[in-house]
Amino acid sequence: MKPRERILSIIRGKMADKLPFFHVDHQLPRGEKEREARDRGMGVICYRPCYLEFMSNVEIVTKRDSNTLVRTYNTPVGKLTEVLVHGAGYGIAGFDRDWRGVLPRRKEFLVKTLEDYKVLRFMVENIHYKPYYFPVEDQRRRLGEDGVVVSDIPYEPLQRLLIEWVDWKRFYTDMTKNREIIDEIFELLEMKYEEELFPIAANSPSDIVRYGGNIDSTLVSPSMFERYYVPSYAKCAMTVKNNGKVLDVHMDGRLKFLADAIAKSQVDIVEALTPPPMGDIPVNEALSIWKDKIIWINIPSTISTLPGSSPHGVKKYLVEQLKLLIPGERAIVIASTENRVPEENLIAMTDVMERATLPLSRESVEKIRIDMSAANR
Amino acid sequence: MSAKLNVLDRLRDCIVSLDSECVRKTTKEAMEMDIAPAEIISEGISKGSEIIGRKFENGEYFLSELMIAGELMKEALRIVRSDVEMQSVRPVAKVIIGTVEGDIHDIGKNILIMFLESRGFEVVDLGVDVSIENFVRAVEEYRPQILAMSALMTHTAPVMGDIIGRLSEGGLRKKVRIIIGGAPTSPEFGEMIGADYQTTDALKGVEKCIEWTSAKDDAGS
Repeated sequence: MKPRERILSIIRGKMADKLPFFHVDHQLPRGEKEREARDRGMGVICYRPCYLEFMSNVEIVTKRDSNTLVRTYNTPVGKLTEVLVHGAGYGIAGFDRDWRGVLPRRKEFLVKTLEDYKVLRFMVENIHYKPYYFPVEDQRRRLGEDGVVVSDIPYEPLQRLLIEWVDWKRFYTDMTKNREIIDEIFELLEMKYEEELFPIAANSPSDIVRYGGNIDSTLVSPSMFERYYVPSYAKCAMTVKNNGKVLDVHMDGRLKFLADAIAKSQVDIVEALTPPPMGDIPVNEALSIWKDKIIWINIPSTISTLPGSSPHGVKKYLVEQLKLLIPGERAIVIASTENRVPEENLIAMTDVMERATLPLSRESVEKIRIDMSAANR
Repeated sequence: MSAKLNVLDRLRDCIVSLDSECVRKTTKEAMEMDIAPAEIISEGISKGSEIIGRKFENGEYFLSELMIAGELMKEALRIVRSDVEMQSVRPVAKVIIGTVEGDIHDIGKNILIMFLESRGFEVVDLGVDVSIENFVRAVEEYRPQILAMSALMTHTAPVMGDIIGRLSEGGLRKKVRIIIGGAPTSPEFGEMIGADYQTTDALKGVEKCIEWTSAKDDAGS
């Protein structure tokens, strides 16, 4: 099987020839080792937007100096400003990223006072979406059988408030004291998504739609998750599943306290589940809690990327994960959610994953372990 | 149970139940009973903080509850510190804390600050995206017993090693205990960059700071 067929087999509930192993295209610097890994079976996942978002009656003015972007939203009811700081080489890697592939960091959020919500509300009222499928179509054609293209849509309405528009400290203060203001904006954006964005995603030329993400129970409590996120997933799922697509949500944080709510949700793919030591749910538990879901396992960056990580450590960790995954249904392995995995670690992952023939068994995983130990000697 | 213990237990419970009016009233009541400010902190506020921490760990409390609890404990400490006697009570230790350059993640840092303050530490928060120079300058200026650094991205975590290197070059490293935190760090990484302790758990971080200050050894004193 080629990478695309491998991943689609798993998503459709069939057994693939090997456990799918992928890396995200914009986090994968090109080069000799990267080519070697791909020649040996590593696929590529490409996230592409399938929509254009614009605001009517809002003038957006961006000023830029050496490392700062100041974006002002001028509206008839007032203006809001956000300040973002970016790394060297901003823009050259595309997708709003610096040369390392890192997004700008938000130093100043749009909402700074209670009054600012009035302006934000106006902006949200004037947000609109229209289809823009070219990035997905173009990448599908280029990628061929080497991987999958995923249609990407923005953060969930509450996550957008929490991460993009309001600093979390202000957000939680306002959630406690002025919840109705937040609820109003949430509902407005949710409606826009339901009426305009989800149908666009449903008609996009890909098999998978990724909606929102960066879910972590430290930031989002179970009660918030159940009240604001799960219903939104249900609405999105209902629309995209009618067109034969699956719903993918990026959940790379600590999920133990959200596990039951995730189990009940309409999410098909729990993307970037990060097992211990960074996350708090081992992969075997995840498979057992989320019986109807596909799990994309993210090799933690403390294993894959952090200074001090090593090919030996990567192999040992991956073999341990394979043991927990036996027989290997419903699982896909992503090299990392980080930029710039050291190339020797990428090859170490490939060494293990090219041997992960399905179905996995105790014997086959033990053989991989022995092969890896022999290679280290 | 003595009246003194009773009021301190009530203060602890008011904090845990996130009842602001009760916290204010009970803290004042304890002050009026002439309970020593240090005892109000250790037996009332800190005990409440410990329970809040456990509830956070067990998934009973989340960020919004922590924020409310943090505000309540600050309010109780403000009332206690308004006392003349309290002004002569020294903090457990001084901690400098910040998120390193290139990184704006501050949830873990702020949780650690809340628990440290409620346990009697004086905390100087340098904020987020703090340059190497500003960390070094703060250690020189404030002479803390503990330096706490946080990073949430793999590419910013190594900056903590650069800071430790600069402290060593400036002869400041041996004067301060260093704790690092953040999801993309590991004990091995902490050891590699020369930190004294690494954790991704704010409560374990607080326990380590308490252990260091109780040990009264040379570093950071």
